[in-house]
Amino acid sequence: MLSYLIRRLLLMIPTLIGVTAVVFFTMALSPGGVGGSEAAAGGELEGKSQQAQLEYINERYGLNEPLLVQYGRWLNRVSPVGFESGQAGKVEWGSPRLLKWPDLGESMSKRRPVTDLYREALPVTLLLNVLTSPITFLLSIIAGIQMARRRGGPVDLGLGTTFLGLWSMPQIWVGVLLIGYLASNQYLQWFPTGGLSSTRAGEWPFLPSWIDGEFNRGWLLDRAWHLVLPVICLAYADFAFLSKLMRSSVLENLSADFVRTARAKGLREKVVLYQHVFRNSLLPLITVSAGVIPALIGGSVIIEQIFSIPGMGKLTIDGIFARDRELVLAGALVSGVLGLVFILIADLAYAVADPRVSYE
Amino acid sequence: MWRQVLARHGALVGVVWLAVVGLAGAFAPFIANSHPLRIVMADGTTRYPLLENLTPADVAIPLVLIVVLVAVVLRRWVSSKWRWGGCVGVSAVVIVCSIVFVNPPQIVVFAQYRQALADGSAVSAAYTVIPYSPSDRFRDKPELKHPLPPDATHWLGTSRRGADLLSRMIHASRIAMAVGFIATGISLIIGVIIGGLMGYFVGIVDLIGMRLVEVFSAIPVFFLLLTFVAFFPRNLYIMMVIIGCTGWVGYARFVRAEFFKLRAMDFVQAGRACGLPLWSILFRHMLPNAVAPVLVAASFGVPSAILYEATLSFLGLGLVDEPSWGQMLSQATGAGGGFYWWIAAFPGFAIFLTVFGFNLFGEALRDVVDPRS
Amino acid sequence: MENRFGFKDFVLMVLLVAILASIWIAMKQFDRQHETLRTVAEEVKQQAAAQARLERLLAQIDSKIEEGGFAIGAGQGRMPMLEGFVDPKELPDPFEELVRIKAEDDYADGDWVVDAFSVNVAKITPFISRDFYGAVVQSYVVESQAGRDPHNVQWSPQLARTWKIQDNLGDWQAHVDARMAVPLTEEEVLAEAGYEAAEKDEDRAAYLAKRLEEGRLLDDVVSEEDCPPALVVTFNLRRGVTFSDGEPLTANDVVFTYDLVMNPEIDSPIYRNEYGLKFKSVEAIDDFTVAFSFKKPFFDAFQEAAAFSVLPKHFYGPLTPEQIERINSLPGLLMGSGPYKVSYGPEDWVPGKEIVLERNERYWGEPSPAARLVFKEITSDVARLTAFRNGDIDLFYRAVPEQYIEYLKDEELVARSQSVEAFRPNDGYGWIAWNQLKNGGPTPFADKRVRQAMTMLINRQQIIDVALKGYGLIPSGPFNQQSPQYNHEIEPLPYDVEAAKTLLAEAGYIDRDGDGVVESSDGKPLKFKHTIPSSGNFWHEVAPLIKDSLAEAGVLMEIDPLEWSVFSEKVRSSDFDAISMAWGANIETDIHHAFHSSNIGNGANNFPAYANPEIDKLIEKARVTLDEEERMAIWHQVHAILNEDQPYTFLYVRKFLTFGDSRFQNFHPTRMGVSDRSVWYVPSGLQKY
Repeated sequence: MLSYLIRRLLLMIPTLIGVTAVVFFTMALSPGGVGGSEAAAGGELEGKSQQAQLEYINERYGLNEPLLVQYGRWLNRVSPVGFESGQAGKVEWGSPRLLKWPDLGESMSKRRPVTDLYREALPVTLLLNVLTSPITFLLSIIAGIQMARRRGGPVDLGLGTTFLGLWSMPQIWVGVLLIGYLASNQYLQWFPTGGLSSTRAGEWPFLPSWIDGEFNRGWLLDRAWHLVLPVICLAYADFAFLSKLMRSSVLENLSADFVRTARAKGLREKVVLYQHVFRNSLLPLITVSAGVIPALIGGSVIIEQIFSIPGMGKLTIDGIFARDRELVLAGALVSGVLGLVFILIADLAYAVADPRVSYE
Repeated sequence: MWRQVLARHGALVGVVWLAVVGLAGAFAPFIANSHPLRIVMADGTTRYPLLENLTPADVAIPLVLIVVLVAVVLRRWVSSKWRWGGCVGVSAVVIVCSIVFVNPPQIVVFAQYRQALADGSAVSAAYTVIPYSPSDRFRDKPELKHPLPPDATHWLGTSRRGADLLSRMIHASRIAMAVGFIATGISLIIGVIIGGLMGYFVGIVDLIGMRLVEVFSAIPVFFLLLTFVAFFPRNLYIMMVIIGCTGWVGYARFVRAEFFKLRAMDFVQAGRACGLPLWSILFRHMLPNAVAPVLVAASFGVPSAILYEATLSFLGLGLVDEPSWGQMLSQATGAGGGFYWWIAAFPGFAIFLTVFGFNLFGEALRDVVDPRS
Repeated sequence: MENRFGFKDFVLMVLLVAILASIWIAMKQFDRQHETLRTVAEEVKQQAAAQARLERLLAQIDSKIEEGGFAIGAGQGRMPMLEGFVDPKELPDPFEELVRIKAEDDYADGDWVVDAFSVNVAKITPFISRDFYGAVVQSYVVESQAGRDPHNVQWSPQLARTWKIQDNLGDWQAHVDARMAVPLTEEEVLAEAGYEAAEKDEDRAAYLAKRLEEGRLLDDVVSEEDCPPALVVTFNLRRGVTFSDGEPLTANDVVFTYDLVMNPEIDSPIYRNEYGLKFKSVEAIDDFTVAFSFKKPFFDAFQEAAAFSVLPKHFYGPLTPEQIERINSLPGLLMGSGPYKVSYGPEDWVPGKEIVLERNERYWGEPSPAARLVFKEITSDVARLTAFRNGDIDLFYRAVPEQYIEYLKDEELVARSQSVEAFRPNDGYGWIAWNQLKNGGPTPFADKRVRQAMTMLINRQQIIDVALKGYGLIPSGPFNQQSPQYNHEIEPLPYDVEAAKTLLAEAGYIDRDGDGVVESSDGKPLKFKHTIPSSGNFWHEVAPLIKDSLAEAGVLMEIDPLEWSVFSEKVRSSDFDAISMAWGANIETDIHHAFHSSNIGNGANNFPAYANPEIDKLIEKARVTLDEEERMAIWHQVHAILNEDQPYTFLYVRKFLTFGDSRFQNFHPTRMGVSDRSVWYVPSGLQKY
């Protein structure tokens, strides 16, 4: 098991290098390139001042170096094993380090260390996804089993089509409609239009309470209230997809030999379903979850944009629009790591859930 | 096979809707156009502005569609080889001819006909069903405060920049369909080649290929798409290529798995023993046996490409002046917080129905190909 | 697979409850400590205020003595140091308005002003911060020698009690003329930084040849050590001014600030370069007198010196490499002598946190009414309006027309708020620049008649009506209508399609092949790409309007939206046909950067390559003319020529639209838009915070 884990982790390295290289070189070779022109766009300035600004930025971020050098420097900076980095990420060949803390560099457009930016944004995106996925999985397991039990009946057929419809609904449409009808002052104003907290939530107590006889919903409830629409928007499509998957998986197992045996033993239908079929039916869900969770992170790019939530997706979009080398590369790296780790976790979970699979 | 698929009600409904969207897209200029079909001027001359203003694409797309339909109809009488060969040949001729011979005026002033009718220099005009072009912004009627809600003149209202929404939606369906099919086509080609090589050669090719597959599946596709689209100029064709180039991973996996099974089969061994060239073994003998699951995947790939286009346009990374459903949807809420329900509801519904149609069809196809699931 | 609630689960449950309970108690405890801290802080603040009052009193006595107000001994008059300075009594009182409102019956101290920025502010460290919003925050914390009075736009003293402007033009001109007459030698070029920087020999040779041909440059001559200053602006600083930590402010702090900006390691290349071009030196004559010397005569020299922010030396210095790194990297290093200070402490603000300024109890001047100024960040426009509607923010500064219309629609909201609509002299203008030189050859826009025709074809009123909902003006030149620079005799070119067609025909553009597009005599159609920034909605709305109106005269325009980085790349390399953007403005705007021919190429701002020797001469002359009336006459001439030449089509000037909560009194229009939040007050019954 351990050797398998190590091998998998080592295989991640070329993949991550590939991911970041694809993104970096596409950016660098596209019109506009990676340049300081964005950060140097100085407005109403004399030519000389603009020139000075551009030179300073090129110098500070090493933008004048050949692309391969720039990419190599970046790799050295983020790699836990490598060399010290000097000015503009210059590799100090003289001082190798066996273990160092990965450094994501400084964002050109936000003028702050990328690590700090991610420290703020990543928890937001993870919160969205961590909230969404258990709800989605739980609901879809329930719905899938119910559909399978009523196979062929009107409920099954109705839900089947409904779920296919749900799955086909574009997130952008659902998001716009939810905001338009449930959060705009023209119609129902039940939810906030966006953001993660009310403007003054910082001053409120953590839990709901009464202050001077007036109800205050508190920080926690306020956060939950802000998350309702984004979570719905993020969850519905995967819920539909996973429910259908669960249904077919349960059905497949119900027609398997061991179920026939169990039934022949005279076990009650409920016992058969929940004790024999249920566990086996979860297997495909685990496999699929490896793909669903990275997709959720990708999907939260859209959700964060629609609901203006300051998460990783929004940060990445900002970085892409500003051609911020560090931000874009960090976006590729972080989402790549998350994606690969989830695939790995799903594979391991599969081994745990299915004793037939072993990674020795 | 097709009969079986269409026997399912859901699939039939889906296909019918897709046919409506496809036809609307192909014949868009003949459905919604500010140029009159025929206008009689006061001096007695008659002009046909709609025909004069058709672009090469406006001419080529419906003709090619007709050619394809004819080829389908002829399947009883003509052998498949001749049919598809003829189809491709005639289409190519049509496309080349329309590019060479169709030269519409580059400058269009949509208001001129309405003005001519108003000031009496034209006597009468016959219009298409929806007498508005997608980029006709009614410059002759500055008193209108756009966006207008649906009414008798503008059945689905107008957009924020003052164009007729229904007309834009009809013209947008052409772009949606084109992106869906062409992007998926590109994905398919890349996926089949890479997947096929991986499945056939195994070993080192497979290892490298799998890393490539992993690179593209580790990052969320949408993130990759966003990155690439933002970096290149806004252009429909570039967008198709980018969507195509990021979506091939799934196909490669399918083809690889199928080829893995097939390479051990007798007919492949026999082909190899006969010294058939590699491309012939791969694509003439192995591929047809692996085509069914790939086709199923492709039928789900088209709607996802359409969704990607809509989402990118929604985020402001799409086309500029050309109509797109996603771009229209993004106009539904304004900086001031105003919400124009018709701009949100109709284009979104069009995306939804189209994607739903494809999914219904794809699901039926999958059930037929693989009855187990 | 039994799922009984066993003992293990029970223990787990108990543990969980225990953890939750202890968190709860800890939070309560924390709250209580916080409360105690706040009481202590309040007391400290009151003491500081008392001390500040004393200091103020002392300072007043001090300056009275200096001015000879107190006759301590016989024969003591004015101190000789003040000779040549403007009499402080002639200068306006910077706190006149505050004193006046404090006499109002309903005046009360306290309450907060809560504003929201529409972007994320990255840094608020002075000179390092590059965004506009950082500057807004700084303006309440850091002071300069003098500031503009928002009512009459005249200079009123801040840190300086008085000032004098010494004109040394005679000596300067003589020296410059003498030096310029000396031919440039090869040795001098070899010593130049540009020569050193070239890597290859052929580059060096090319540089040498180029420099020898150019000859001696004025900028080089005035930078030489022995060149006398052209102008000297001397400020006499107030006594008794302290920074918010109680340290006194002296001339040394002014000099230090200059040294800080000019340090090549500091991340403020723009300021460094601008100051490097203008300032010869900043010197402390004594503890309270500081002199700014200028390399060249320059019309806004006084503005540069007067608006130069003063930072505390003891806080930002000494400039060791570690300290420089701190200044460059810490986002919120902000301390000054202004009426407010950062409530988190002068180095503790981090991006993402709302910026809270609290009143500086040690402030030397008249304290402002508001106890706190809060700046939140709400990037979504819709959310910002909602926050205003809910009363979470008090101010909606610079609304876009669409938001303003939405605001006006909400009668209930209008009833409990107040708004200001104004044209301000410091609002910029939007434009289309017509590129005259592309790929080394002239474009159709090199012909003045074509540019005029373009302007006459564009229905600017329609653009303002549609895209700005009517909240805008059509300018006829690059100056603001509210600024004295604007020549009101010049009318904007009219929207006149027929006249434009005639002009195009004169320039040789007529439809020769009947395809609807006009062609030049050699058959080239008049078609071009209009490059616009792809972000935001505004230009996407404007460009189709322009496209449709140009089509009426047979001019074919394609819209080419580019993402900002590609856009700025195209701008820098002049690789476009026509391009749209907006320039900002000042009360008096220097247009040298955009219209002087020396700024063509090399990524400078004259990217449409507009060259008119007459304009060059006039701009140069205006920049060195110190007499305001004379200078305005020259600007008016510049304006007239630019209107004739139409290097740009000047599209619109936006109206300044702002609305705020109705509890604020003294919220009224001024020349600069709306009265500053530092002079608003809230009657005690209406106070919210």
